[in-house]
Amino acid sequence: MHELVDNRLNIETPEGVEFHRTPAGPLARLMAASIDLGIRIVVYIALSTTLFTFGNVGTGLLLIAMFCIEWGYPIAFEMYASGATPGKKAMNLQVLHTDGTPVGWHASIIRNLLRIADFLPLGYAFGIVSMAATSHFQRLGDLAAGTVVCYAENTRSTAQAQARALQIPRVEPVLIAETLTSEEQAAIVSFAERSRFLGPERSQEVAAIIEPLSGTDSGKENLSFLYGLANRIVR
Amino acid sequence: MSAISQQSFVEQHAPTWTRFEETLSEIEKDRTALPAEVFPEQYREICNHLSIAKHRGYSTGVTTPLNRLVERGHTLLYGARVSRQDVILDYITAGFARQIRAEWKLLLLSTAFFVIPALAMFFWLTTEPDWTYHVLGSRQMVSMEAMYEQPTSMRVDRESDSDVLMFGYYIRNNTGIGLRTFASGLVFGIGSLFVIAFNGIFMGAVAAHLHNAELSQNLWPFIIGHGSFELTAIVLAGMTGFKLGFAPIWPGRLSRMDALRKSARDNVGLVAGFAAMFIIAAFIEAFWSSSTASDATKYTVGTFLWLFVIAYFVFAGRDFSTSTTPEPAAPEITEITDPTDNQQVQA
Repeated sequence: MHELVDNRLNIETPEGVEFHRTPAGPLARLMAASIDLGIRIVVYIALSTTLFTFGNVGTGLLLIAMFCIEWGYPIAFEMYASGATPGKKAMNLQVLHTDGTPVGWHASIIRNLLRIADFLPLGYAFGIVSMAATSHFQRLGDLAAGTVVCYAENTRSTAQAQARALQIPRVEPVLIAETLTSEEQAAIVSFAERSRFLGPERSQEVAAIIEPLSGTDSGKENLSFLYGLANRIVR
Repeated sequence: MSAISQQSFVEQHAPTWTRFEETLSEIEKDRTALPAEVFPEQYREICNHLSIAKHRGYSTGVTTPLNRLVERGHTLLYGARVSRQDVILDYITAGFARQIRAEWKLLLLSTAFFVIPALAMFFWLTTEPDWTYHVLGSRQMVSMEAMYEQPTSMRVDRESDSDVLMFGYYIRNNTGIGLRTFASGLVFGIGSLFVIAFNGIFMGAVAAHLHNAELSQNLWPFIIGHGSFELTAIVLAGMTGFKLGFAPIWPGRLSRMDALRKSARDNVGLVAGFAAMFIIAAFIEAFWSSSTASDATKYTVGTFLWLFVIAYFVFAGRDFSTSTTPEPAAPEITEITDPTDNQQVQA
């Protein structure tokens, strides 16, 4: 079902289990690219002001440095800074192989050399078209390298995440005659976990969807009905 | 409703998850080797839990942290990399030459795309000098004449520190052109071959023009040295770009996407190889070709450089032992984990 509505990258491990990552869209990536461009411009200015004082030798060194930065900057950071240039890090992005493993030398070199092809005819036009046309926002370089840029998962620990998520409002469990599918059960419990981040009005608005089962149109009653179902499922 | 309620599932297994997370954090932080006797087993247990949680429809509060644990474990277990040093050294001393030899037909084609236009231009413009104005344009002709007005060996006025400047310039310019030629192959396909032909036409025309102006005795000693690496690298850049662009056009038994991915992966070594050749050429051009050594010396050294390049591509990485053991499989800088293969196995 969700394959149709969301663009999550589902990765099947050799153990036969699927886990998922969330690919990042063009806007976040363009912003990351702009940050990287800004950083490089600052470095170029700093290098040129110092190196120009050394005459021809300095200029020669500057040109060599510019060559290395032009071609090596993204590769070096993707290899030694867990798959992210400073711009990507700032936008909480990370480069991965399409099988979910961290990007390696091969793929990093390919995707960054082919960046020029994505830049054509100007302003990453081909890259943006390619991202719009592929389900995981891959530019041409990503397609050739077999990589995808995903949001880096937050580093909150498992225990913290569970403590946060498993707090569902305790109410008296509700029994109903209908059988709920496992997807429906998961949706109800997830809603109960998250509702306190939504605010009361929005929670009641969302809860209105349960009206056919609860038989009431009062927002408050629908909400506590859902909490009741969640308590019944969880405990 | 479920076999075990969500809460008792969490209560039962939470200690296992915390323990596994501690192991993960430790390995990620210290980058130590995986404890082979316990790690895969622990990881599989977590995989099992995620499977169960999903199957029973437990909430995202349970599946999200488990998803994250599986992802981190997967990264550590399957994202392992081999040490790179010996692989790279092996590629330089043998693999690069082997890979080029394996593509000898394509190399022949690319070389033809360079040599034929160059020779044709040279003979045409030396017999019909007037056409040079149309091919090169008068401004280009004047600047070429100025460049080769006097032999390099006589240019004593040249500041020695400008060598470094020119080294930087050649690296940035020529290597950049090579890498761009490769990348443009992705968009223009066979266009890379025309980059080679364009270079052939230009160089043939310049040589013809200098010949007509009776200045070519200043050209050959200058270019023979770095030409060995640079001209070869131009041909290889065009050839590699062509290979990349042609793969999705003629994918064989693969899908077009897979053909592109495979071609890109197979050709990374070639790209690194020709980029290195451009850099070597830049070094020779800046510090040797422009030096004041006599023409005779430059011809001799240049000939040796050409022989070296040819000998490298002909002999490097060949197995000269008489044993009948097959040659090692196609050498490339391969990682243990191969994303494409992984997907194919599962498909």
